[in-house]
Amino acid sequence: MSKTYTPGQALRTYCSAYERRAEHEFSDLFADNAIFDLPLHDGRIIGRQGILDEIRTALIGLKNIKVVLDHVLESESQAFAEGVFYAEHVGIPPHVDGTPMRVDFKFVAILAVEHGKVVRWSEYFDTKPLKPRERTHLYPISRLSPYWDGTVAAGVSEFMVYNHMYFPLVYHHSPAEEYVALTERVCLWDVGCERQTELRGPDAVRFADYLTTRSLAKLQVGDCKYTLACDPQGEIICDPVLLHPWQNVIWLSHGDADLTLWARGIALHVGFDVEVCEPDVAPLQIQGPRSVHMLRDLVGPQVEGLGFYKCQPMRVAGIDAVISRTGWSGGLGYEIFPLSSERAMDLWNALVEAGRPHGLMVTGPNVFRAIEKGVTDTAYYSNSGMNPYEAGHARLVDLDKGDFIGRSALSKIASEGPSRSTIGLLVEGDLPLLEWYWPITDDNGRSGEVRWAVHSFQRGQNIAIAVADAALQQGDKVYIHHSKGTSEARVTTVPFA
Amino acid sequence: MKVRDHLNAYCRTFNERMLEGAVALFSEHALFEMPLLGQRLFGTAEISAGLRRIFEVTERAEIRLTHFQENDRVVIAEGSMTAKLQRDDGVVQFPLAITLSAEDTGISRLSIYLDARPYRLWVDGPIFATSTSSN
Repeated sequence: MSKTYTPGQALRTYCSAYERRAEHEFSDLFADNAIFDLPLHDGRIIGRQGILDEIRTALIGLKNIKVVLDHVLESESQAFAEGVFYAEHVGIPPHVDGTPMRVDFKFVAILAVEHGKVVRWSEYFDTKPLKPRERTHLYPISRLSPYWDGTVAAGVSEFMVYNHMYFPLVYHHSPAEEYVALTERVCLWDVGCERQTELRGPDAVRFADYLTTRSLAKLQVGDCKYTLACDPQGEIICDPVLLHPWQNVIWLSHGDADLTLWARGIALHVGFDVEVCEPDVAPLQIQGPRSVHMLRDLVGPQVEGLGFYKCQPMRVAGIDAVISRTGWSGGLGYEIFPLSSERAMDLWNALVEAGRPHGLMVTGPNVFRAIEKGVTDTAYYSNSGMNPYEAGHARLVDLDKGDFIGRSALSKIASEGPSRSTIGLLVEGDLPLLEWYWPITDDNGRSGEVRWAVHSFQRGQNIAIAVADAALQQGDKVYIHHSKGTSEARVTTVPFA
Repeated sequence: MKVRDHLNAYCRTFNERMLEGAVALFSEHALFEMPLLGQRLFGTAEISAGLRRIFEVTERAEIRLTHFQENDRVVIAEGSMTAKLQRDDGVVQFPLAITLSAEDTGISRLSIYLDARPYRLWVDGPIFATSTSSN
């Protein structure tokens, strides 16, 4: 038989379960049609399941929770309480000085109970101190994305500069909220900074084959390939997704590297019949398990037939685009490449509207999920001198395909074996903010460096990806030396999830 | 005077923009918390300065309370505030809760709970009383 509560019991049960992160204790607290009204949400949540989902997300993203009730005033059907909520964020690295990111606030909670169940839970508190007041300052030397207005409306607060363009990364959500949205619903990312190096002409495919490390001998129109561009020393410049949307056209959709300049410079001195440019194509990513349903509503059923790493020209909300089934989530997702930015905000608005019934959240690319899935990015290789074998990408190098940039050096590395390898690390305890790569050592004098580190919501602990001495094996213990001391970690494989 | 009476008196004087009448309800070292003012105000001098600022930036502002729970020391109420700012064309309305404690000399604490984030520019000016200010 389902448990029933007086208003005071319900209030104390809720607060106690929150402190202990006892998710299951909320399950019979609320009536089926209960209303949950918190200023942190965009609107009221109506219905027990939605409330439980919201509480579950909140508990994923908070730790060391304490709720102090200063005054509780109770009647037969209602309780009014004033109190203070204390917690630390999970997934947000601490401040530079090492103090944790806290979420503390005073509140009034008012609840109503009918037939022993909570039918209304309302809280009143000020979210202003809990969220950034405004976005970081910008400088006009870097470009704005054509979706700028949309990202500002969605509450963007932090950017990085990526391909000479502001890349919106942080919005007014907690990392846990964004993680749940990506793994259970759908997210929209402005990746307009993910530029295309376009190779156009009769030798487009042959030139792409020369610039990158994988064989394109079997490449068909409509294919995509994850590949690498290396320099003559065999070091990775970037790891683009290659798209072949039309005959005689290749797009190298690349991370933060001047790939178009590189390709244009090479094209000037080799004999390929090809034009190199950066077209006005600013992609968006729709990632998450609901992405296919959302795009089917907007584009039509043909999107369901798009295979993994395939691309096809389609119209999205009346706008010509190429859609590919690719992305940076390590799960189901799509990229939309509009053929012009003239109607960028029309496209953005149509996607936001189409995503509404599917619980779409506008976020930055989710590094938490990417690292769990072992999906890296140009930023992982930058400033490292890393070659594909060290990066764990031997499968992306076809030494037998004919000449390509870096082939000679890579042949030598392949025959001798790489001195470093990419490893996963399961980290004990907390980590500070990663502002530069952390050295790692072990008891046998082997070394390396942590290049990415995050909290894993799936594993409930910190994880990292490092490039390190190739002799390190799964299960070995290493020490991570960072600004706040030393943390122990165990070597594991990548991906983690 | 019951705590509920103090709360009703505060709302009445606030809605009627009676600065001196509202300030007179507070005890000398009272605490006043109003997120739209940005800071906690201590004592009648600061409370007076804060309320004066509210009346300066608004054409009108009205608190309406709909539900109450109280004991002999504290009352908690919920309701809403409707306000017309000098700078804005439209009227804003937002939900709020108020907690009020009182002692023999008047209101000892009045805490207003609301989400100030959407209205963060209410106070673009000084609100603290100086040592030479009067109530």
